[in-house]
Amino acid sequence: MIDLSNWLWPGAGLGLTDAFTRFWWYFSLVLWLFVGGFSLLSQWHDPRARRYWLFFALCFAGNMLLIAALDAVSFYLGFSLMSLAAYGLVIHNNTAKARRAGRLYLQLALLGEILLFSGLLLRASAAGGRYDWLSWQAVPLEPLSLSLLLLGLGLKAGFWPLHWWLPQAHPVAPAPASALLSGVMIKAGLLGMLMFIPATDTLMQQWTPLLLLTGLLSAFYGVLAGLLHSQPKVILAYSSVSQMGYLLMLFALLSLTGVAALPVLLAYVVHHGMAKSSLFLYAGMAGEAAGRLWRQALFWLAALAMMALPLSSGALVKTGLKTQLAEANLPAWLDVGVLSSLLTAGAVFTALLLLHLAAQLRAVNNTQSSRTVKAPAVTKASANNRAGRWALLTLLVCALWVLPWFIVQHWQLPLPTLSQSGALIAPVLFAVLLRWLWYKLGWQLPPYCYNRNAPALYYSLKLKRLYQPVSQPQWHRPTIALRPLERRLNRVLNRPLVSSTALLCCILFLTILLSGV
Amino acid sequence: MMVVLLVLPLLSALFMLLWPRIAPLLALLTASVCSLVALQLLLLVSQQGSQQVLLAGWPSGLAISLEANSLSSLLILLTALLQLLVGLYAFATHRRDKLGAGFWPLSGMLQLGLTALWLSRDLFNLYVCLELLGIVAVALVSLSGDKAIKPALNYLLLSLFGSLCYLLGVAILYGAYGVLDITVLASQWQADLLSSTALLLMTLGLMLKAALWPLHGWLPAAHAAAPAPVSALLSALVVKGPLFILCLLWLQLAGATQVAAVAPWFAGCGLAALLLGGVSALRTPFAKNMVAYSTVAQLGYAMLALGLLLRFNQPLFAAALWLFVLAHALAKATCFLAVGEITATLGGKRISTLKGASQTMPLAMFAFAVAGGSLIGLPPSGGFLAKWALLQGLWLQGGQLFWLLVIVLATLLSAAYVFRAVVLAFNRADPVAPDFAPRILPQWLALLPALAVWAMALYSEPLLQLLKQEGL
Amino acid sequence: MSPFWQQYLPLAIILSSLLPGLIIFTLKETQVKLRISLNLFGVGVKLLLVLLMWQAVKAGQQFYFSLPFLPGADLVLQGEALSLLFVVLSSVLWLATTIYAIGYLEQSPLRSRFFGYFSLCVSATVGLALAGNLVTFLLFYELLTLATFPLVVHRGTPESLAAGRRYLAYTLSGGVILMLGVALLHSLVQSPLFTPGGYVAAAISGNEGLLMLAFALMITGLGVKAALLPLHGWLPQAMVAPAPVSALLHAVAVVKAGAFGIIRLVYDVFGVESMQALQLAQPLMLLAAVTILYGSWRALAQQDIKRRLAYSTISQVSYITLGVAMLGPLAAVGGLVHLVHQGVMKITLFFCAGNFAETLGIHKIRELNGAGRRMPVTAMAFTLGALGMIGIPPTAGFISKWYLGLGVAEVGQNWLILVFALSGLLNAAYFLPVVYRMWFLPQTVPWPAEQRLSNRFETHWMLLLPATFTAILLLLMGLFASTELSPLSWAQLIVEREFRHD
Repeated sequence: MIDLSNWLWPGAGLGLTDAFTRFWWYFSLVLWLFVGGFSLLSQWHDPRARRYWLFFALCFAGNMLLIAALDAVSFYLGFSLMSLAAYGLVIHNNTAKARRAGRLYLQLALLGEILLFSGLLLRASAAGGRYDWLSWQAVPLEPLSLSLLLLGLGLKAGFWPLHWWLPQAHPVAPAPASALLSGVMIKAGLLGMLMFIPATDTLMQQWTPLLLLTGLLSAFYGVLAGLLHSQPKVILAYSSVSQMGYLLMLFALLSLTGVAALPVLLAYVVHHGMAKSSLFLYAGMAGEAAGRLWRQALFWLAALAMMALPLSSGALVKTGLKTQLAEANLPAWLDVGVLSSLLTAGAVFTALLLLHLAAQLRAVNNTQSSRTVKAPAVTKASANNRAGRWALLTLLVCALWVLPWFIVQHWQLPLPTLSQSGALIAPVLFAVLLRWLWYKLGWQLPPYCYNRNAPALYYSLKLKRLYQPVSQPQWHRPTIALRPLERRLNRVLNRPLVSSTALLCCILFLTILLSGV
Repeated sequence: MMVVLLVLPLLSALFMLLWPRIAPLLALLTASVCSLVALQLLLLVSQQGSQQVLLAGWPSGLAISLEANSLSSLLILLTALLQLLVGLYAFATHRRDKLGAGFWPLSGMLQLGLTALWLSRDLFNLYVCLELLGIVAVALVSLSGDKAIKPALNYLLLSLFGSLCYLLGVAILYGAYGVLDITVLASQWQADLLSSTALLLMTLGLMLKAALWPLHGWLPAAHAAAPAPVSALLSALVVKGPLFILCLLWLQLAGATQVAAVAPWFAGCGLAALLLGGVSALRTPFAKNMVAYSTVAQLGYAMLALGLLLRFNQPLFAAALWLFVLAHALAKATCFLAVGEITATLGGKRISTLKGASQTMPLAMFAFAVAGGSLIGLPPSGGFLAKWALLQGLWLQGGQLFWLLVIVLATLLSAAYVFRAVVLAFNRADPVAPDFAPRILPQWLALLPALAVWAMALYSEPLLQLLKQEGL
Repeated sequence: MSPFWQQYLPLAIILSSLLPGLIIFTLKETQVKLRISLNLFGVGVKLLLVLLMWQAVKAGQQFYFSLPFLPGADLVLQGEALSLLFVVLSSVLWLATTIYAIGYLEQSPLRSRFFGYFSLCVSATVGLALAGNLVTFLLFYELLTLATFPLVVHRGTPESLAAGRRYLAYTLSGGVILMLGVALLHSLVQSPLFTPGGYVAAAISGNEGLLMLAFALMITGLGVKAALLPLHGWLPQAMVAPAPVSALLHAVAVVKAGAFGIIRLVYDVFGVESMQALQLAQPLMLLAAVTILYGSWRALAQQDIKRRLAYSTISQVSYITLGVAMLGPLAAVGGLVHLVHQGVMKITLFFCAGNFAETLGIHKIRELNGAGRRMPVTAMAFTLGALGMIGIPPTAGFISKWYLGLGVAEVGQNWLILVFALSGLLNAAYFLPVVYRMWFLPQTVPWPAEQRLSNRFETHWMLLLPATFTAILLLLMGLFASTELSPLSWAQLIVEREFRHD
């Protein structure tokens, strides 16, 4: 641990004090560097590459800092650095759509920061002026500070009712940036919750069912909303909303089952981070994927991992989640059986969404490849570039299948049993069936249900009009025309001076005398 | 010593009539000698207390008696110094302004009259001084030539009318009591209708001469029409003479019931002077008129302080009264000299003449602003001291919120008219070009009293002590 | 260390700017070199003296110099921790502003007058900081009004004259009301030295009404300069002054004088206990809170850069008042440190606004599109200042908001957090679009009036250097907040001394 409290703000400290943070930090570092390498290739021809790298570096620094932070201020510094710099990545393409999404993102990011700031203040004050989050663990939470923290960090984490910016910002950013946004940066919100909300707190335990339900809702909402969209990156963003719902559930379970849920959560973070990154990177190169079998295979490997095919990382974490849920002593009105069947339904939904994604990607590939036919032949340099990108993606997908096993080994998590694997494969099969039926029967909702613009954008614009008004009501001083009055007065007073003064003298004399001197 | 102070100006005025050529030299010499003597007198008085002199060795009661307390000697010193300064200014500008040869002997007579007034404690002697002052002042105003005839004539008539009123009062008192010496008279004083009538007559006469509201009508025209050095003298000193007598009358002669009855009138007149004079100064289009109206307003402070002093008998008000007189004398001298210099150089008598004066005549404008600061009462000037004493007195009396409000308003009004001119001076868009190259020396001379009034702050404690005790 | 120079040190600090200022008045326009060297010499001497004093005060010494003035109230100059906070701020920023002004006014007429008043203004500010009692404070407060007025109307155009008139109308009225209050308090308890913990406590019983009246009068008087809500009207208009003047006005001299006066009044005249006994804090807090929100709200609609900054000042300065009015040690640290931080941030922003105006002729926000490409250093400094104003770490603004927020939680007025949150959002809402325009939008129309002031840099180095300096300063103050040199630790020292008195 590095103690900086004599240099930087009071209580400042950086360090990776426990295995959990250390792992999180290294994982983020590796993913950042990896995607950084990828964007080195993908942004090769970008005219605004300097700007990209600037914001990329700032985000990177912020993210690393916030994980290593031991005190609230350092965390907040990293958090806001990351949030604000990510704006630069979101609007990087500089299209009208990107700017719109960027505006929404920035509005919500700032709102989240202010909420987080207020929450941290209340916590710091309750902790008697100590800022390190380790000593906050023993300080009881208050409803106000808890809700401020949840809202502030939740706006970054992007689970259900706070997810507005995700489906807008992810599609418009460059592919590596969306990969990072979805893979690492939204996890910062979750990390903040883990740090600043002590799991053992009684209030937190009271709120756990609420969070569980929110997570569940988020998981379903993300899928349903995603099914109504046809843009691959939007679907991926909604999938993130859904996955963050599961993560929120895991977080909520922490306060019921204690530290046992922590490795699962970590594994989930790693799994989702890598799977979502690879899918985003793949979606970014969608047009180039046509016809190549192994490129398709890459996609399916990642997608199947997300669908929790047995032996995949997804299977590990989903099983872990179910086990934790079963072990938790939930309040009586929350039936474990119902919950776990809901989780199974969720798995079906997830699989459905990914199948939908596959279909949409194919459509994109088809249109793009039909267009690239007319494009001039690719040069050698760009061919190398492309090959390099695919190689990196391959590496990532491989890591996705391998890395979670190390976590399992390290934390000695139970491996999924055979029956559990069966339980995992059933939803996937069911989803495939459903999808096939759907396709065959041509089920369709009315067309206006698809690809709807998010109301958030509308409100964002409204808000912008509100805070950038052209004019404001202003109080105008009433003008009283005194000049004519003065002129008239002057005319009246313009009298023979001597006689009037003498007269005045006499009058004064008489009045004062009579008034009784 | 007091005799020297009286005889020297008289003699020099006579000599000036004989040898007009050396008149300026003589006048300056006299003024400087008088200043030195006055300083001596002040030191003497502050060490040994009040001094009394009976002229020509006649016994008390018959002789003209002169009495110098520290207030009188302070005023004498002020008179002599201002005379010196204004003399210097007049000398420095006499080629340009074509001040008549009459100025020098007349200013000598003015000094004589004022000095005698500060020293007299006898109603008739005071009348003589008053009359002398009035005549000389009218003559000085008429030095400006034709354009000053009408204001000078008005001034003369009203001044005579005031003198008559005063004389009538004196006559009544003489008829009733047979004495005119103030201390003797005070010991025999009866507060009856007769004495009230006499007092009132004298008061009105004096108010008329001191241009106290509402009898101030003659002042703006007369002061504005006079040449700059003359208006400086008139505004700084001459109007203070009748005020001095007024204070003598009411503080030493009048009975308690009379005082109680008249105090609100004084305070009310002061209030009206402050507000209405201020508004007039703010609205008048002519530069010198503005300064003259400011005199009317500032005299309101003195009236207000007098009224409050009569009402509450709080020594702080006495200090405030005389501090106002001193600070105003110095500040107003500067104002008139500076404005006179600017209007003469830039050619014009409207306030708009001052446009861009901060560029063309920075020193004179600075002098005006500095003096204006004292008129407003910004710390640490003499005006601030006076206001501070007044405020302290009011707060100590408790519950005088109305008067406090009036003072705030009056201060703001004075700030408004001073800065009206100053803001114009900072106008760089279309400055008025000077008719000829501005001269430095007169501007410095104009600045001197302003600096003096700010320097008063350094002596604030002794001044306050002195005036609190000896406010007559 | 002889007592002789110790006694005269506060006076020497004032004279180090006053005397060069007076000499500069007499210089001719053509004596540029002499004027600049005099000016810089004065700055150098002042900084040296301030450094001396700073070290001595840190060691626990006090400086005291007095001249007899009114009965019961001498003219006292006193060097202690709180006054030094303000003195250091004004002298350091004076250095920056002087260099900036030399560059800014390179071609314009009447420079001697300008720099003369400029020095007077700083002398008055420093005197105000060093004032040891209320009467001395009042004196310098009025002198400050007089010294700044010629700077406000320096351009001499009809708009600047109107602004000057308005400025005078407000500040002189404020001064008179302050004088009234000071006189009232003087009549009750005389005017002793400023003492931590206040000196009115002994006179409370029986005089509650009068003391409250005195407080209200003095807050009104000080509130004019500190731009508290109904008294803020002069500030947005006064921004017609040249950029260095606005910078000094908003960051150090006038606005801060009011805020500093409020700090003095609350802590060293009335004291925390008397404030609580008289229940004076709550209304002040409310007023400050409303001002914060109102200023930010009005800033939203301003299309002129300097006007927007001016409204932002109204809002930001009230943070100081709010911090002071909360009467808690942490809030006090926040308020005091914001006094410094806001100064540095706002001066940076005004420098940058001046740079844009001088180099490219940009006055309106909509003309700023793409300015970041043409003037990257200036735009960077502006961005840092804006982020600081919003309170984003690691800028200085964050530190002060953090402490203010902690103070809020400490005194248990949780609704104020809402005020901070709202104001933070509003700050972002009016600063970030400006930043966005500079960096993210391309230039579409030619610059209104571009001048090439330098061949090597984006603008004249004398304009660029101060902005860079203060921008770096505000970053350093935010980043190294715990070091001994930082305003934060100094503010903590002051508050320690302030709240330890009993």
